[in-house]
Amino acid sequence: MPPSPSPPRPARRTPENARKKAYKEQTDVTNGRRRREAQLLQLRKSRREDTLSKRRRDDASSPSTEPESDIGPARPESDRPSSSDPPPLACATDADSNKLLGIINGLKSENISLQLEATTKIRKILSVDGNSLAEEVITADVVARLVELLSSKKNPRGPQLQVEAAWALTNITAGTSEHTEVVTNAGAVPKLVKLLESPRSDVREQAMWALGNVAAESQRCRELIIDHGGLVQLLSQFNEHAKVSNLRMATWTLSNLCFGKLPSKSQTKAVLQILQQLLNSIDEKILSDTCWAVSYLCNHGTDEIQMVIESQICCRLVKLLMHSSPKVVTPVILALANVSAADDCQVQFLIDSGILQCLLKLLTRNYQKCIKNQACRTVSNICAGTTAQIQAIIDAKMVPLLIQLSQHGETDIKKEAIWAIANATSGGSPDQIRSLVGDGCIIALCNALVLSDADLLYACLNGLESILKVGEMEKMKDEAGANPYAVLMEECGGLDKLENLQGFNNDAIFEKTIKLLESYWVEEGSEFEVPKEPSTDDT
Amino acid sequence: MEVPQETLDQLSTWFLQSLSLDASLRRAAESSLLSAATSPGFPLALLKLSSLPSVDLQIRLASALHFKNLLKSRWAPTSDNPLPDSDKTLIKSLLLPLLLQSPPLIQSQLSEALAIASSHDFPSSWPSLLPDIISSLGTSLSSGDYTSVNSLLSAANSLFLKFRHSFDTQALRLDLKYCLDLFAKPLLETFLNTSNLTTPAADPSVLKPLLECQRLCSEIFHSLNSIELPEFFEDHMREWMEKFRFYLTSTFAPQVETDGTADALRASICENLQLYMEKNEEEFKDYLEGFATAVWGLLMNAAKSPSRDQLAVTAIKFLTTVSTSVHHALFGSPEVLGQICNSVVFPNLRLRDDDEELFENNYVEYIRRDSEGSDTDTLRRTACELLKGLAVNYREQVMGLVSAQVQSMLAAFNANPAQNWKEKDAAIYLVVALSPKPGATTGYLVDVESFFTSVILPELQGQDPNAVPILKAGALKFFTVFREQIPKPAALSLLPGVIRFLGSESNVVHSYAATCIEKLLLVKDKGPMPGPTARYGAADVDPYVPQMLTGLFNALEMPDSQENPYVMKCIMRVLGVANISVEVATGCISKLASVLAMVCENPKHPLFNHYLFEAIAAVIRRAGERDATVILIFEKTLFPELEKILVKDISEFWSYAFQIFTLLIDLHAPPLSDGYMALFQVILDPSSWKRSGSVPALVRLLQAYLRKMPNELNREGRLGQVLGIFSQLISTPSTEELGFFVLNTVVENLSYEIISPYISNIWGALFSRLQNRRVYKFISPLLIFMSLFLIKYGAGVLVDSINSIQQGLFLMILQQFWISFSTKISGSVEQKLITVATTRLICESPLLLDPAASENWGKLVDSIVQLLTNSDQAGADFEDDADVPETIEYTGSFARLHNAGKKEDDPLKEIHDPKQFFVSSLSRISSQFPGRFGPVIQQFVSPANQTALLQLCGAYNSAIV
Repeated sequence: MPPSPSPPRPARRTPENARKKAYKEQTDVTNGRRRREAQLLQLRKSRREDTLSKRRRDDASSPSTEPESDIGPARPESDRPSSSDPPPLACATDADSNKLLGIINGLKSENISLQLEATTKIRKILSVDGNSLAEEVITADVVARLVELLSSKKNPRGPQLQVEAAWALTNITAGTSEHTEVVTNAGAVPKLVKLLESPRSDVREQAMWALGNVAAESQRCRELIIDHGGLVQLLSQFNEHAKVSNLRMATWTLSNLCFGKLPSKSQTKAVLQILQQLLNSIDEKILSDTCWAVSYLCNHGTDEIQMVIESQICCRLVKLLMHSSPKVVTPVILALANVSAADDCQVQFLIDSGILQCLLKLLTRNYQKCIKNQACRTVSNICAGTTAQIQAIIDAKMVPLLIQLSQHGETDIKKEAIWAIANATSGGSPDQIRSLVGDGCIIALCNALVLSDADLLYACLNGLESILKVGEMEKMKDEAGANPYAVLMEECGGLDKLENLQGFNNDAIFEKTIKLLESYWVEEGSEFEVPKEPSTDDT
Repeated sequence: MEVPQETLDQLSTWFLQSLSLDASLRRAAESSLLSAATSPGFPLALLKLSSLPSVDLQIRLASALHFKNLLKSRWAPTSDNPLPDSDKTLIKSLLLPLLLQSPPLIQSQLSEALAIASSHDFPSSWPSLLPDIISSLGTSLSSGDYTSVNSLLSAANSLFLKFRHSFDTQALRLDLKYCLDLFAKPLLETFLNTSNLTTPAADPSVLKPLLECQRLCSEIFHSLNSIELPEFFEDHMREWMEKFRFYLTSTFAPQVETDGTADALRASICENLQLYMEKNEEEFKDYLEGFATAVWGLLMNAAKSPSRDQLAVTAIKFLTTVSTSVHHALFGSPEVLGQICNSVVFPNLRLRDDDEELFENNYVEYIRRDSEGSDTDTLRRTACELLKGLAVNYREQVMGLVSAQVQSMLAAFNANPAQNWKEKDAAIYLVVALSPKPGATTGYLVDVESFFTSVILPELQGQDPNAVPILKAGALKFFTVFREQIPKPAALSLLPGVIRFLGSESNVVHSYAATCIEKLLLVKDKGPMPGPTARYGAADVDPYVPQMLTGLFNALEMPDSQENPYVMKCIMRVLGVANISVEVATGCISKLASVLAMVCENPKHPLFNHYLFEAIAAVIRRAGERDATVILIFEKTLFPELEKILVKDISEFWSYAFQIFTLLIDLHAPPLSDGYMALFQVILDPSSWKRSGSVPALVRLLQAYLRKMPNELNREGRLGQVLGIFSQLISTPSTEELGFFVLNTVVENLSYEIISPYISNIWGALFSRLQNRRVYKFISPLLIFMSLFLIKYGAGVLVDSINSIQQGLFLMILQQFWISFSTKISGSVEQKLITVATTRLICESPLLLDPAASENWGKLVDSIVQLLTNSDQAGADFEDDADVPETIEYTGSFARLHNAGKKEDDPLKEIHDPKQFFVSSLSRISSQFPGRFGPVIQQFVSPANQTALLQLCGAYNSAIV
């Protein structure tokens, strides 16, 4: 009895639309196995962690009360009216208008007491979100005057006036883009930067706050600050004499500035030097904003990632994955996910720093979904590495977990897990593939063949192709002569799904599907069934 | 667009003639059109003609079709004769307005033309297109002209389809962003405005175009949401979802409900829900419960009309996705589970009237759907998938529901078998569909054993092979699916029943009976060593073989089953397993020969024909091996048919015929009759080798002749002919490997005296080819040939014969190719050959034993050790090498017959372990020159390979002194 052929397959169903004859693989995108960076044009609404928070300073907080460093919405919960002032009115009345007139006159006076009184009143109006008077206050005139007052002359009460004016501007910049534009058009940025040289910490802190809000507005605003030397001044705030509250504020403002690409490498380098020190801070807020800054830098491209790696903070970042606060872990895993998209050497460095054990914990314990998702993306990037790196994944007992996530996780996580499995199987050595198959990778990849994501589908097909190739080697060892992995695929319903993929309208996927079907399931003799090119023209 | 009237008249005439019944007129018109195609402005003239209301509609349609095909072949800038840019610019400015004015028939052609042009030019080279669509859309909407609205939306839809299936790239996203910025808002407005008009009670004639518009909006929604959730759609998710839900939960006028208009919209919506589950689970989760309820409500009320099927399939798929997601708890309560099973899953399991029709009228298609997995989009299958999805998380409950359902279906059947046979069929389907595949981790959802005894056995034991054929088919399928689990004695006792069904008039039933027997014979037991063994051997089946073969050959006589592949495959399998007597074998051959005579008339079913030749080969091999004299009888019967294949040039069968001849020659006691000698002349004719598909078979046939009568080649200049074939084959990359097969066969079978007159020609041909083809694909078989040559004739003959072409040539070849490429050789026989040949070279050749050659000597040692290490990690470098040849079987149309196959000969059978051969040869030669090779090895073998060499020496207890 000769080796038994594999069971018969029905004639291949070909889609009615004909295929291009001279099909060429689009090697640029069809290299299924790859690391994925988050650098494609974004069509989504920005997620919370992607947007910068602007912050209003309410009346209740003392000048040295640092803002709530939260990844939460732009408007912190500061709607409480101050107890010492009359409650804000629901709508502007004539009395209000008169009052406003008085304030504006005070503001314009040359008397510092009157100026201070008026400025304080204005910032109180502005401290309350939704105050109907606010709109009337934010006029070009008033703002211009507030900006002037930032550079009050030497006077014992000068610094107090500077704080009040900066505070008012802080709250204006916490508002809409139009409001911020009024402030920047009034030339506030250079003056606020100048205030960073003030000997008084409360002045510096309020100025940083205002600048932080401006920086959160747009890339143009960030460039404006940097062009006026704001970054250099900000970095000089980090010294051994600084108060914790000042450091917190400076870190927050710095993280906002880092949201956009910094103009030069030397600036990035200087920022990283500071961030490297801050990463050792025991203050959770400083730590969290530091990590956000790092994660923003990692978003800017391979050069920045390379510099992050060179600044030797990755090891620390890996340790921070086990930090108790999600406010720290979230930016850290985002940063590391981007680092893991770099080359094999960098990935090796992460592995040597012990990232796999941390990722394993992130994926098995009760963390937020976005953290798990990024952890899984990091794993998938590592799986796109060398066989030694894939081995590290296997040795870390990561594979059964990935299989489990690919079947029972939320869809985002499912897909990341499938990316990881597809990458590992595409690039694994024969022995590794045997081990991966033993853990159930075939079923996981086959189940993914119903998804609609072309890139992921292609990656899965590549993974299955590698598996089937190893199966051919097994077949040679076995007298019975069947490709055991082809049999497994058939048994788990994968072959049906593969056949259905012939209807997926993407040439590369079609070709790959056909290649697999014909290489591993064509029975002797059925080569004849390879369909001829159907004529494409109607007749 | 100005087109001269005479041009239009001329075109009209041609198109009219191209539709003529008179073939000569038609051909003349077609060739006129073809020659006019390159004249300037031709596409515009076609477009103009197709849009003239005054012209006959038939001519306009022909012109539009011609226009579309022209765009298809010539719009791409990379096509053979691309349209000039000036024409394209004009077409782009005219196409949309003309399309909108055209009647439906013309419009659909022009829409396709638009889709073709836009697939290349949109958006970057056609910036006006989308704005034009949007502004026309606004006008048409405000005037309530839904015919135009729908034309515009379908044009837009064709622009956006690419976002569904393309790879995610920056370029694609830029295009998508452009489309979103322009179209997301008008799309939503169109959808919302239209939904205000679609009141359920509206008049069907009004409603129909409106619902069609909404379906197009829903399709576009899908395309625009395919990459990721766009900001605009997230901001307006509620508006979309509320309307989607409205259409899923409302019932419209009966006419649009029954003609499928409303259901087409709903099916599209269900696909969007599925998309959101897959892409935007988090943002979508608040809507999920509402939609799950709506969709399942829809299914519970699903009328059993076929127009609802597509909707039901997509709707059930959506529920299946939900059931396996993290939100599965939506279905978790016993009440909901029960309702889903009882009102969504179970009712869809029953056979439909069109299935019954298929069973009777198209057995091939029925079998493909019923048992070969091509039913993924049928309701039955989809419903079972939902059940499996639910069982992932609620296994116990689902098992309970299923087994209750099976019981109740069986009870209904038993109460009235004649009336309720479909209940039993559904029960069988359910149990088969839910059976875990072998190796799966989860167990059965029903008790298979008791089901088999109580439900399947009575069907298989029924005496009338024609009673309720669908149930018989179901029972046979059940037996086939569970063949591994059914114990051998039970299965054997059922065999007569199965054989009886070979006589059923139903094509499905006798096909299933054949498949059942065929698969049964393939069952293997995973015994201890030496690996799996066939459960049913000759001794088990021999008693049944006569009835089986009678039944099978009779089945081939039944209507529509003359070329039934299932039956022929079973014949092949039975003949491959059973021990048949000479009488039976002779009978089989004559029956098979007459089938062959029939298919030679019109070979149309490749699979059937393949099994036929396999069956013939099986009889010849098995009967011939036992009694060589029957070969003479077989020859007599088969020669006329096989000769006919060659004479009538039935190319599909050439390689089969050669393989059968090969088998006959192999089993034939010499001398060969005249017929074979005539055939020998045929295969020496270079024209026989022109078909690459039959070359592998020809090589085998040639080998068979050489083995049987090696000296015949030395006569009448035949060797010269063979070598002519060889040099022809190596001159093209696609056949060069086959050329080496021929050459290897010659060297393996002939002594050097015979080939020595030709040897300088052979080397000359090889090395001049090598100059132009320094690639692995050529070098690898060349090295293998040289190795074989060395092993056969000795190292001295190899070196001298090559050097006689040109002094020093051998060393050059050695340095440039042998040393560097020998480590890359793949295949265990090939690796063994090259290892042994290289070993003999360094131990026997004076050229290499000369101390002056010590660098080459050392490097050869290095490459052997490297090769031996590589072969240990077999397949470590299994990645596709661009230059590694694909397996021959897949490049041509050569179909190897297993039953005619011979194990590839290992020319080095006497050497079991090439490593040992290498190490002991090395040790022996070093003991002749003590102290000489140690330093050479140190100098020229890489450190890693030195270590490996030491280990090898240790393993074989040898040493290099």
